[in-house]
Amino acid sequence: MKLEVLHPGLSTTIQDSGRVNGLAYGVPKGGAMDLKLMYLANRLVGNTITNPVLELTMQGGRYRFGGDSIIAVTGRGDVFINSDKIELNSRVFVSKGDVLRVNSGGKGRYNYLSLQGRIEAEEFWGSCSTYELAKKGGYNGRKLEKGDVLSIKKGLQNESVLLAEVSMVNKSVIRIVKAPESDDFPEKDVDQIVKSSFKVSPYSNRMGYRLSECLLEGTSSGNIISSGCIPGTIQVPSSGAPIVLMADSPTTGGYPRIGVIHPEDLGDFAQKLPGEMVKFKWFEL
Amino acid sequence: MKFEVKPYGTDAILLSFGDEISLDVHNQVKQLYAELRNYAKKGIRAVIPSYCAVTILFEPAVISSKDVVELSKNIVCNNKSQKYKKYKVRIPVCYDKHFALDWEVVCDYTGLKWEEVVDLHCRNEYLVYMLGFIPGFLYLGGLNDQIRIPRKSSPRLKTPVGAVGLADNQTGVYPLETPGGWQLIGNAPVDLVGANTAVVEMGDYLEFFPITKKQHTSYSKQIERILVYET
Repeated sequence: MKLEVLHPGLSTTIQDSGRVNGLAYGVPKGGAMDLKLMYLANRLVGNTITNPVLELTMQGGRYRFGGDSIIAVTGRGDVFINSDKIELNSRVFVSKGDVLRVNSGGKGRYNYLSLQGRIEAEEFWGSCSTYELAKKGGYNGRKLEKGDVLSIKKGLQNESVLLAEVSMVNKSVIRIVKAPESDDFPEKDVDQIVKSSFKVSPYSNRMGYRLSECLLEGTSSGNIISSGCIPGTIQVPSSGAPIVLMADSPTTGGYPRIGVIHPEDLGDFAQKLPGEMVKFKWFEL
Repeated sequence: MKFEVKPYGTDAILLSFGDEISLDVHNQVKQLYAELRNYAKKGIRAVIPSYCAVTILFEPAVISSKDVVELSKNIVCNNKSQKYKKYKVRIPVCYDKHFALDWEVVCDYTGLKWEEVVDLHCRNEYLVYMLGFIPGFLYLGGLNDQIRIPRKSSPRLKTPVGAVGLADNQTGVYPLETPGGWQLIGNAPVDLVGANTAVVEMGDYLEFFPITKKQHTSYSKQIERILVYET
């Protein structure tokens, strides 16, 4: 089966659950920004949950199917087959020549398209996730462009889920957990990070989300000796404006870390649109 | 050597050996990293070594953070049994002025002739303290003080793949095309990123050797990694 890109949208890349075997060598984890939705997309069509899917960013683009297939789109956007609106988060049968159109409709940043079988993609450090900075993985290491044609091979099939309930509302309060330098921050910052609302800046992408609207004081030194970081980490550089490390973030960093987003909430945080407000709450282990 | 346990979310912890960069601390980090990698099937998902710490990602359903700490303590206490291997990596560098975009700045700042700069850069043996920042980026120690130079006041928007640079007490190779503020002194026709296995490991020793522009063009991109000794 082939899938032809008629319009690539804002940024569409092949992503799976990412890679951890390169973390000691500077290779970021990568993978879907909202893992829960990626797993769900695969479950709906009966794929292994870690199969590569398409991650569609905001305006998701248009795609033509070269054959009959079973697909699913997970997320909170508006999805059409030809001109008919179809149900999200459910299994959909498509026919040869059908055109899929996805738009986030201002509800969340990422939607995921799964196709029954396995999208052929380049592996890099054990994962098919596209890593644009190194131009590796996925489809020639880059986002999809008009005219690209993806091949979908038959894959291992599991029993598929018919329909899944996905909350239409983004989790409004994101849980954060202590990080290595949490105790080095003044108490005022530890309070303020959960009392204030932060705005997701337009300068946010798969590497990191900058937060604005509220500045933190930061630690006395402002820097640390570089050490290993994980996605979800909230760094506070000397400017006081926090940066949240996301899927493609560097594996090491030298800014103090006030906290880290709970892995179960990281996808909900990733869905925040530029300009959207976010609140945090401390989560005790 | 003792470490401090720092919490890091629900499925990671950081073990810190203080905040002083030294060979002793590096060897301790290296040993812990090497040993912990053998516990992948027991819930250790990944280990990120750095100058003075290791960040450990674990599977909470398989191993608790308490048990990760216990395991690490045992490894650190039993370090006598550790086999020690030394690998050396040789990186070819073309110091031709075609690649050495900042050669004049470096000569002016250091008061050295270009040939002297090249000689000093090739003479020392460097220790790979850690990898990070971007794939294949090596944090090297051991730069000769005479060729220390501050980074550029405004970074280049694009630094080519393989660019070799100087910045303060560091030297290194850009494995990817990225923006960068280092003073460029040459280019290494090698692939440091790899595709599935490590090209260079933390703890390796490294030396640069000069090649001509012609050799640069025909170089295979492969890096020589030689076992120097084992005890």
